[in-house]
Amino acid sequence: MNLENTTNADTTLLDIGNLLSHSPFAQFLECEAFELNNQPALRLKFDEHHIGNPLIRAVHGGVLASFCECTAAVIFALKSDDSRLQKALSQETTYLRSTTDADCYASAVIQKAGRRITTISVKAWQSNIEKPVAISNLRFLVSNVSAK
Amino acid sequence: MMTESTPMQIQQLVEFFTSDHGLFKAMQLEVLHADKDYVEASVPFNKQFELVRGSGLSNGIQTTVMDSLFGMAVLIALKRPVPIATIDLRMEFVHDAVQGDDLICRAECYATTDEVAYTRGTVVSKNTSQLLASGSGTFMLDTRGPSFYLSK
Repeated sequence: MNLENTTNADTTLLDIGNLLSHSPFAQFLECEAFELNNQPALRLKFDEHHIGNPLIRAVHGGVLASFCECTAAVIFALKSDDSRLQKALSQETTYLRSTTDADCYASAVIQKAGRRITTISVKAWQSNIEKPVAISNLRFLVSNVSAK
Repeated sequence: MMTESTPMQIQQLVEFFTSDHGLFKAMQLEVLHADKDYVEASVPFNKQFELVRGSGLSNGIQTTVMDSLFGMAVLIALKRPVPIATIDLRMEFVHDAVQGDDLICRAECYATTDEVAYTRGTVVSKNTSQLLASGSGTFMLDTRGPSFYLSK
C-alpha cells in the first residue's frame, strides 16, 4: 500500500474513492481519501451533523469512532482486495483529547493480518498529527471476505 | 444536594439529546425510556446509514447511538449535573443488522466512583429481537466544559 509510485498512489486513492462511494454511511459521514507520507489516509469533512455536544461544539464520540472504523475498513478492503467495505467484528476507542468543530483525519496500520482475524489500529487527529484526539483498535473477520 | 435527577431534568436531558440535536434528528432517534435504571431508544432503518447498499444499519450508527445513551445514563445516574467526557468506548458487533432492521438500543450506568462512571448496553433488532451488538463505555466526571443540563 506504499504510494511512492505516483501511478499506484492515484490507483489506491481511486480504489478508496470507489469503496467510499459504495457506502451510504461513509457518504453521510463525508469521508474522503488523501495521501499522507506515501500512505493512504482519510479526511472527515466537518459537518454540523457531526456535532455531539452543541454546548462545546465537539465532534460526537460515536462519529469519531465511526470514522475510525471507516478508515480501518478501507485499509482492510485494500489489503483483502475486496470491493466492498466490511463491518468490524469489534472496536474499542480511547478518547485522548477534546475535539473542535473542524475536519478530522485518520490513518490506519494493520497490526496483524491473521488467517481468520485481522487487527487494525487507527489514529485520528485534527489540527496536529502529533496530538491525536482518539486511537482505536478494530478486528475484522477474514472469513467474511467475499470474492471480488 | 445529592438528590435524584427529577423527571423534569430527565425530560430536559432527553430533549437536549433529541430535538436540539442535528445528528439524532437525522437518525430519527426516539427515546422510549429514561430513568436511573436504564435508557432505551429506537432508531428506524434508514438507507442513508447502510454500510454498503443493501446491508443493515451500520456499526457506526450503533456506536454513535450507544455513546450518547451511555452519556445519558451516566448523567441521570449521577444525581448532580456535572460535565462528563467519554474515556473509552467498546463495541462487539455480534450479528449483522439486516436490511429493514430497526434498532432498539439500551444503556445502563452500572457503577460510579468519585471520578469515573461505568456503562454497558446492547443493541437488538426491533424486528427479530436478535442481539446485534453489546458495548460498554467509561466516562470521566467533572471534566472541564459545560454540563449537559441546561442551567437550572
